[in-house]
Formats: sequence, C-alpha cells, structure tokens
Amino acid sequence: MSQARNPYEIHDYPSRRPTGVGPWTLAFALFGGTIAWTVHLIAGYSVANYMCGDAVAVWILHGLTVVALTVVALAFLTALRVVRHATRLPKGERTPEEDRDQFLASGGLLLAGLGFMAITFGEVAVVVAGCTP
Amino acid sequence: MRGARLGVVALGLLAVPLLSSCTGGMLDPQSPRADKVIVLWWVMLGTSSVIFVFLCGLLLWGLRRASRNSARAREGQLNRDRYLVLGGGIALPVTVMVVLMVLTVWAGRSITEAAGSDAVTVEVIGHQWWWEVRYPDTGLVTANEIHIPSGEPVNILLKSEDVIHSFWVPELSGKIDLIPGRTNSLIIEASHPGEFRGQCAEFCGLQHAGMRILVVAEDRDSFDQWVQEQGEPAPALNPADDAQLWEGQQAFLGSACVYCHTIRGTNGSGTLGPDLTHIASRQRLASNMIPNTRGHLAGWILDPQAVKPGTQMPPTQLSADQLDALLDYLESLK
Amino acid sequence: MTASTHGQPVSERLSSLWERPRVIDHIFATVDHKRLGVRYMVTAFVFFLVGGTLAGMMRTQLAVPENQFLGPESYNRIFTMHGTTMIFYFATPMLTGIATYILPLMLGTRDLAFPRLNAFAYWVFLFSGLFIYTSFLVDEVPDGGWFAYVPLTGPNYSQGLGMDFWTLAILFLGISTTAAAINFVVTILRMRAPGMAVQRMPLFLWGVLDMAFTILIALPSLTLATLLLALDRTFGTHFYDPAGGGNPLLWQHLFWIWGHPEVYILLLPSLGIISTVVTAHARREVVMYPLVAVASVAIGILAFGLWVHHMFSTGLDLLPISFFSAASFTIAIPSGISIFAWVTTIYGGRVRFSPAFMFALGFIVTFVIGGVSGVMVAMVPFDWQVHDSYFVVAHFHYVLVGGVVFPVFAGLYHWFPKITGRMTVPTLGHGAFWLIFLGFNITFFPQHILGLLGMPRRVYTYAEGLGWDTYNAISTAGYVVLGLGIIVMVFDFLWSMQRGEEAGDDPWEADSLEWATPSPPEPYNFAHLPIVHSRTPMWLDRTPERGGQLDRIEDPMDDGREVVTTSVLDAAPDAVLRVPEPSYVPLFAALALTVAVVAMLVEVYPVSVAGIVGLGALLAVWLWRSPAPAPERVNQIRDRVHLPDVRIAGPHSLGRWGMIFFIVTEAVLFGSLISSYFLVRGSADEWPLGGIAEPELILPAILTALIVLSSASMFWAQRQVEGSADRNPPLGMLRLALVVSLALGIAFLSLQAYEFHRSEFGPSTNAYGSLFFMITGTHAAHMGVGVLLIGWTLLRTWFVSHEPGQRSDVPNVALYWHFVGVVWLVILSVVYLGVRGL
Repeated sequence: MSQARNPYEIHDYPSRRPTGVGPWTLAFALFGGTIAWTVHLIAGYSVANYMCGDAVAVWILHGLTVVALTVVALAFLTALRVVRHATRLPKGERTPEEDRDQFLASGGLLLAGLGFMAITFGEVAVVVAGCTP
Repeated sequence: MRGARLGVVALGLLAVPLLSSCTGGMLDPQSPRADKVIVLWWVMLGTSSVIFVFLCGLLLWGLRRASRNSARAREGQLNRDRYLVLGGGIALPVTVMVVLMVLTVWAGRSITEAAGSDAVTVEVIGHQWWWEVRYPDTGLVTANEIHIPSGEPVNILLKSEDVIHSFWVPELSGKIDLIPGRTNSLIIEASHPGEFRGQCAEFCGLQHAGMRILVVAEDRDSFDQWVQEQGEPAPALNPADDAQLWEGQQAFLGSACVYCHTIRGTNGSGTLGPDLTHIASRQRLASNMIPNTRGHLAGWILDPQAVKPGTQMPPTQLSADQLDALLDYLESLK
Repeated sequence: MTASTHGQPVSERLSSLWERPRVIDHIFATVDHKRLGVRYMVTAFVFFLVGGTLAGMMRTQLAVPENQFLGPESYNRIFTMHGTTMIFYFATPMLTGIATYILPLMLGTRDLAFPRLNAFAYWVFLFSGLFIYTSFLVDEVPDGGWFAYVPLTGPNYSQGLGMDFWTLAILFLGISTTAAAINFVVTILRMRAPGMAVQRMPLFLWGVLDMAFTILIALPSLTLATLLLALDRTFGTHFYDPAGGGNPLLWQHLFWIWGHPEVYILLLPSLGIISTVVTAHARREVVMYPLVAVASVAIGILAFGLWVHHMFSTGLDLLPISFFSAASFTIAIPSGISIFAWVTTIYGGRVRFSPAFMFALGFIVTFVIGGVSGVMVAMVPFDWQVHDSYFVVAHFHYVLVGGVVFPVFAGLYHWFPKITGRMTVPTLGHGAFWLIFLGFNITFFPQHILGLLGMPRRVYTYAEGLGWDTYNAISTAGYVVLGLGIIVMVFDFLWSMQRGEEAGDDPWEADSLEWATPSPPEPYNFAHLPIVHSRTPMWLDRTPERGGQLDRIEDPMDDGREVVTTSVLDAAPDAVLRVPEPSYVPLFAALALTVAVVAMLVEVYPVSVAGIVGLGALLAVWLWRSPAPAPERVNQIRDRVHLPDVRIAGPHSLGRWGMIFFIVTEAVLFGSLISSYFLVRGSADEWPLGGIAEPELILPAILTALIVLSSASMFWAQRQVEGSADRNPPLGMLRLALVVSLALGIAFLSLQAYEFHRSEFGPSTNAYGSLFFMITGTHAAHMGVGVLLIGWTLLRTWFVSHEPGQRSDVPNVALYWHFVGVVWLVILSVVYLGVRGL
C-alpha cells in the first residue's frame, strides 16, 4: 500500500506553483484566430452576397479583413507569449500545468496560422474577383 | 515492403493508359471559356501527381528503412521529423494553395465575364424530363435542341417549372442549376460550328438519365436562317390538296396529343410538352434519347413508356392509317 | 491481489457488481459499453454488407450501356438507400461502436458517462435502421437521393411513403447520434484516468472528441431540415415551396451545413484510429503530437466553413462562393500536417506489417488521392464542370472509403485481439487487404475519367458510343474484386473468433491503456483504476520504480459500481461517482419512440402522442433516482488513497455536463431556425408575406414578462439548493419557488396558445406563417418540456431524499429553463420586433 506516498507524487496535480497564465488569456490564445476567421467568413459572405454593387461594399470587405487579421495577429502573439512563458525552464523542471499551457498555446499558434491563411485567401478573392453585382 | 511497392506501381500503371486515352467531355473543350478550365485541370493534375509521387516515394523509402530500423536508430531524428512535417504539412500546401486560389478566382472571373448587350439570349426552362428552349428576342419556342451562333458568347437564362435540374454541356462550359423560383444565367460560347451534347446533371426524378440536350453551333448566316425558319408557323393545309397530311393533322388535333403539344398555325396549343411546330427539323426525339426517324417516332407515339420509362407522355391509341397519316404530317413539319 | 473493502477477492467482488448472472439481462438490459460497442459494430457491419450489395446492383446495371437489369425506379431507390445506409447506418454507427468499446478502456475507466443513454442510443439506432428497411417490405422505398433535394422530395413531386420513411428515419436516428455524441464528449472531458491531462490524451481520443463536438454543432441543422421537409410533406407548410414564398435553396444550405461537417465527423475518429495503429505498429509515438492533435481540432472547426462548396453550381455569385473556396483550401493544411506526421513516424519507426498496418498504409495512399481531388473540386470553375459528375463520385469514395472504411478495417484488425481474445490469421488479413485495396482502386479510379468525359451522377443508364463503356466495365469488374476482399475479411474474422491463436493481454506491445486489461476485458475493465504520467503509459509509465506496473488508485473502488471523475484540462481527480445499474428502461424508451415514429408514418397521431407520453413517463422513471456514493464513502476514499480534491458529485455531476452539451446542440437548432427565417426573408419581396399584418406587441410583452419572472423564480430555487453544500436545502422555500415557476410557465403557454388561436393566418398560409409558427411553436414545445421538468422536480422534493449537496435536478432544470428564456428573447427581437425594421 502507498499510505506513505505524497499525493503530488501519485498524480502530479495540483502542482507546486501556479502557471501565471489566466484562463481567459489561454482561451484567447487558443481560439482567437478561429473566432476571427468565423466572423470574417460569415460577415464576408453576407456582404458579398447581399451588398455587392454598392460601392462601399468592397471597402467593408477590406475593412473586415484588416480587423480579422489584427485579431489573428493578437491571438498569435498571445499564444507565442504563453509558449515562451511555459517553456522558460528546462524540460525536467516544468510542471504538468506548464506542459498543458504549452500544448494549448502551440495549438493556438496553428489555429491562428490557419485563420490567417483562410482570411488571406478570402481577401485574395475580393481583390481578384472584385465586388460587382 | 515489396507488396506495397508493387501496389503503388500497379496503380500508377493503371492511371497512365486510362488518362491518355481520354477524349471528349470537358477534356476536349470547344469553347474559349471551357479552355480556361482545362488549363486549371492540367496545372492541378501535374501538381497533384508530383505531390502524390513524392509522398508515395517517401512512404516506400521510409517503409524500407523502417523494416530494418533498430530501436537505437531513432535518436537524433527530432530535427528531421520537424522539417518533414513543417515542410510537407505546412509549407508545401500553403505554397500550392496560394497559387491555386489566385488561379481559381482569376479563371472564375474570366469565365463569368458578361457577354455584350447584342448577344443572343436563350431561355432554357427545365421540365421533368425535357428542356423548353425560348429565344426572347425573336419569340421562338423549341425544345431539347439549342441553336447558337458560333464564335459569339451567348446568354443562357436558366429556369425551372418543377424540380431542380442542371444544365451541363461539358465541351462548352460548366454547369449551372435550374431552380424553381430563381433565374440563373450562364454564358456559353462555341469556338466553331459543331454539335455538342449534354445532359441534366442534377438528379430530377425517374428520367434524370433521359434528360439530354443538344447544342448546335453554326455560323451566323445559318443561325439567322434557322431563326427565320423556326419563326414560321406550320403551313396551312387544305384537305383537297394534301389529303394525307390533312388526315395527319386531324389525327393530331383529334387525339390526346393536343392537350400537351403546340403546333403553331393549328388549334393545338398545349404547353405541357415540347412545341412541335418544327419537330421534323430536330435531330432527336424524347429529349435526345432516340433518333428522329419515322420508326422511332412511331414507337415513341404509341408506347413512350417503353422508350423512356416514367415519361409523362401517355401512350396514344391510333389506327394504322391514322398513325401513318400522323407520321407523314409530323415529318412534314420541317 | 488486494483484498476488497468487503472481504472478498477484488475480482470476484467487482464481477458480481458489474455483471448480472441472467442471460436475458445481458441481452435486453445491459449497459456495458463493451457489449453495446460490439453490438454497434456488428449491426453497422451488417448494414455495410447490405449497402455494399446495393452498390453491386448499381454496378451491374451500369456495366454495359442501355442495360435492362434495373429500371429507373429501382435504380433510384437503390442509390438512395446505398448512400443513406452507408452514411447513416454504417459509417457513423461503426465509428460510434468502435468508440463505445474503446473509449472507457483507453481512458482507464469502467464505462461511459451515461451508460443507460448509451443503451438507449443503440436501440434507437437499431430500430431506426429496421424502420427504414421495412420500406422494402411495403414497396415504398425512398427514392429522392440520400441528399433528398427539394422540391423533388417535396409533396408535389414525391408521392407515396418513400420519402416519409426517409425523413422520419433520419429524425429518429438523429436522437441516437446526438445521445452518443453527448455521451462521448462528457466521457472524454470528465472520465479520463487521473493524470491524463489534455496534453497526454491519445490521438484517438482527440479524434472522437472532435467528432462528438462536430456532431453536436452540425446535426441540428439536418434535424431541422428533415423536420421542415416532413412538415411540408405532411401538413402543407411552405418552407421549401417557392409558390408559397419558401426557398428550395434553404434545404441545400441546411443539409450541407450538416453534410459537409459530416464528412469530417466520419474522418476525425478515423484519423484517430490511424494514429493509434501507426503508433502501435510502427512502434513509435506519432511525431509532433501537439500539431497533429490540434490539426484534428482545426479540421473540425474549418469543416463548418465549407458547406457552400456543395452549392457552387446553384448560381450564387463568384465572390461569395470564393470565400468557401478559401476555407476549402485552408483545410488542406491540417490534413497535410496529419499525413506528413504519419509518413514521418513510419519513416523513423520499426514497422510491423500486420493487416491493421497495411490498411493504414492503404488509407494514406488513397486518402492523398481523395485529398488532392478534393482541392480540385474546391476550385470554383473546375467544380462547375465536374460537380454532380462521376468525378465527384470517385472523389468522395476515395475520401470515404479510403478515409473512413480503410481506417475502420485497420481498427477492427488492430482491436480484434482485445475484443475477442484471439489473433486473426495474417495470411487471410493480407489477402483481404490486397483484394480490397486493388478492387477499390479499380472500381473508383476510372470513375474520375467518366466524370471528365461528361457522365453525370445518379443516371440509371447511358447511351452507347460516348466513350464511357470501357471505364464502366472496368469499374464493375473492380467491384467484384473488392467484394471478394470483403468476403475474405469476414471469413477471417469468423474463423479467428473461434480458432485464432490466443492473443494475450497485449499482443502488439501497444502504448495505450486498453492493452493493460485482459483480452477480452473483464466487465469492470480495470481491477484498479490506472493513473497515468505520460502520453504512452504502457511504454513510459511502467518503470522499474513502479515495479514495472502502471501507477494505479490503490482502492479497488468496489463499494458499488464506482468510478472516479477528473477535471477537464488537467485530469485531476475531483469526484467519485456510481455508474447506474443495468436497466430495461432504455429498451422500453426506444420502443415507445419507435411506436411514435411508426404511427407518424401512417398518420395515426393519437398513437404517436401515446408513444411520446410513454417515452416521457419512462424518462421520468429513468432519471428518478441517480445512484451516488454515501458521503462517508467519499471521505473514506479521500483519506485512503490521497485524492485530496475528491468531493461528492453535486455540481460536479456528469448530468450537469450532459445538460450543458444538450443545450449547446439545442442552441444550434434554434440558431439554424432563426437563420432559415432570415434566408427566406432575404429572398422575399415583402415581409410579412401575402399582406399578413405585423405581429402585435402587447401579448409578446406580457409573455416576456412572464418568462423573465419565471427565470427569476427558478434562479431563486437554484439558490436554495446551491447555497447549501453541506446541509439540505429548506424544502418549503424550494417548493414555493418551483410552484411559482411552474405557474408562470403554464401562464406563458396558455397565453401563447391564445395567441395562436386568434391568429388570422396559419402555418400553411405561406412561408411567413410556416416560419412564424415553427419558431414560436418550437419554443413553446421547449417551454412545455421545461414545465414538465419543473413539475417532475417538484414531485421529487417529496419522494426522493438526497444527501446534502447532491441535489442536482434543480440546478440542471434551472439551466435548461434559463436557456429557453434566452431563446425567447432572441425570438422576441427577431420575429416580433425585427419584423418592424426596428
């Protein structure tokens, strides 16, 4: 029996020290890029479908792209910061929560990257196809 | 792994003769607009093949190594793993996709470029299971055979009377759907005179397979002449002079035919089926299922279900003489 | 072997807890995920064979031009049922079955989060399948295609019961799929082994989690689409009818908002299976784990940006559809990451060429072809050419057979020893693989070319002389080879089940927890629940310091059917739960639902209502009592095994999580409904249609007041319960709060009924009327369910006593009630205020 064992040793949790990254920061790092893309897709599709022909439409589309890309960039930077922070110590000294933060924030990097691609592809369409009725 | 290698090689060998023997369809475009699509196709096929061969090569080489690897050989692989996944999984698709995205929108824009205001407009209306063809500029009505002038873009307006159909003549252009309650448009252009077959591409019920269409492109003079001929009503008949044709016309007007079909110049003005004013000028019958010959026409009139199961045209009961006269009459409607 | 807390040997004690001695209980009352998983797999496989036979009939018909083997009617029925069977009754349930069997084992727990719901989901799936196949017996087979485009499937162009069978079967099955998805999400989030934090979850679990989330968000759209179609067909509403102001494109939007993600619903767990098989048989963890795990999440998210991809030829303008091209291209990146990660893993691994691994290789090769042809059809101009042609048929068979069927077979071969305790015969497995792989490619590769040559889909015959004959003949020949392969595989399974070599616990020396159990596993899975410290516990955790064994919870957890739940991100143990006992209620509930559905088909509505009432009564019984460990027992566990944060269930209960995800899927349902309203409105010339007056505002204002007040009183009730973790709530106050909520709810429903009654238009007046009544009616139905739930909770305050802090019914019902209230506010602003252009 393991009566004498320290609970931390048994299942690693909870750790000895807090990670210093709040849940909202982590959530934004993970999903910020995706949310920006979702809004860009739905709003872009709606504007393109219902408003093209109006001279202002194409500028709304460009504006949407700028805003969405800014959010993506912020998410990417936040994720990058979280990764840096979580990996500041050598491997053996990191807590499981830091590993978790690193994992989620790396995911955020990928998702933000994909959001960047999808939004940029959409902007390519706006530039090449134009927004004429 | 020999088996795997053989399999991939076999697959490759299968592909070569299959692809090289292709003719017709969209691979044989007869239109400046369909040409652009085929450029896209060859670019994509080339890129895809390179990627596929590269991946299979990597896999096979890896398998050969992996069946000999010992546990120790794994050390120091981390960097190579990273380059392969980041390079192959991110850099490669990103590069390819950027090029393709620009290409696709560019091609899409040039394909949908509007035709000039003097372009011929054709209205195509889908029915289960035939195509009504109208020329709003000249008021012509025909069916299942579209004549267009070659070398000019032609506006096609697409509507449907019942369910969704889709207009597809692969040698000339991609497809656009005919949707009830909507008018879609498509621009087609044949680069030279010729005949191009197509068929309905959206499942529309029992005779989806039998809803075929023919586009006849001819030079401008022939097209104008065709328009003029099609504009004429059927000739008035005099029982004394053309007894046989007159009998035929009476057979048409006296049977169920008249409920659904129009022959301009007579009292027949049904609209459920194709306009027959110039039926003899059309190449094929039953929405291009069968050739327009006397025998086929007779079979079609007497027992349409045998030719096209499910068609909405009912069988017609006629005596041998009536049939003979009716066939003579219809064949006279050039 | 540790002695149990009850003085018996642990294994005996656990066996007696987790298994009933009577055979009839095993058959009809079991809630064991392993039995149900096997049932799912076997049933789905039978549907696969049936669907495959239908495919054979199609290939026979198309082998030569102008063939007379099948007429158009039979052909249309057969291709409709082939697609419907393969997607709805084979692929989804097969993956559900594999996940049902494997999840608890891989998670290191003893069953799914909601075992009775699992049994219910299986029965509903089975009955739905039997229901749709009875259409053959009465010769009223669905024939509108598995995509069922309106108006062809609407009341005017599809007479008879065929499409009614289809819509009802799909609605019916949706209940099963949603139940399974909620079960998977909650199980994966809350029942992982202690220590299995998100960064240590096996990739298969990521795949199933993504699948389940995608189902919850995508499926309501299909449910709504088929519901509206059923109403159009039966009650003369006009959602899709252009003559009544409806929009046929609405169907396509709703169908594909589900339909495209559905491809990924099938693909994501399949990718997970491939990761599992590659890891075990290349004897190496998949490289770049974080990227691969998140790629699977990314695919699930991007999948929702692709639906218009299927509507490129509906005449939408170039720019709007190009946005969807963009999303389609983007999804190539996470797919590319996964493919290269597997290839790289294999490259540096030590490969064992087992049949499972061969199917994984077959998957990679085939899926790459399906992937690149997928990029091709994402190109708008190219898609205008090949859409609805055989090119697309070839493409999605490469994706679905290559991307789903091959992984399923890989998984079956991989887990066969675990499930049956015996090994398959390698020679047969390899033979089956090569026949299936080559047969598949011979069947489908030529279909690409047929599409390029102009052959459209769904044609029962074609003319001679178009250059299509040879390719069709080759394709049919390939089918024969493929079929032979399937026969060899089935023979291999049947033979090995009886006579295969004994497998032992871990024949593949694999990495994940299911291999720590005996083959086949005991009914309780693990005698001691494992604790994990790495992604590959079977490889890395069994260190000499741990005596070469997995770390484990020393208490055998045998005071009842106990399991441990853990926190969502870090998998820290937080509660001890009891899993429900075997029960006949799920079966009876599924039967009641079947009665309701069959009665709807034949339009005997009183019987339908009776079936629904029966279902409701059974659910009330089902949820009447939830098993829970006594507080002393929880303290005992906390002290004995050092799970410092373990608490009594209460708000930690899985039921709360189930309710949250149920609300998520319901919210999407209402979202789809509201979007449909805007879509129809957007294509209308005037709104409300047909001169109907704008709705008055006095009544809705009163309704809003009622609903806000009722939410407040439910909140009050909730406070009574939640404000008291270690004592029982004051029952008088609780009852008062519930009675007030109940009265307000009933007042709301009565007023709403009055509004419906005096309305000058009805649901069949035009599309506006249809949508108005659909939106407000669906909400009212939810209010009705809420009222029943409050009444049920109220009853329980007298008849069911709870340990302090364990009353979870009130918070759960309150959550639902608040949700329904919020939905009303949205409806108010869209349907009542928004119509005035405010």
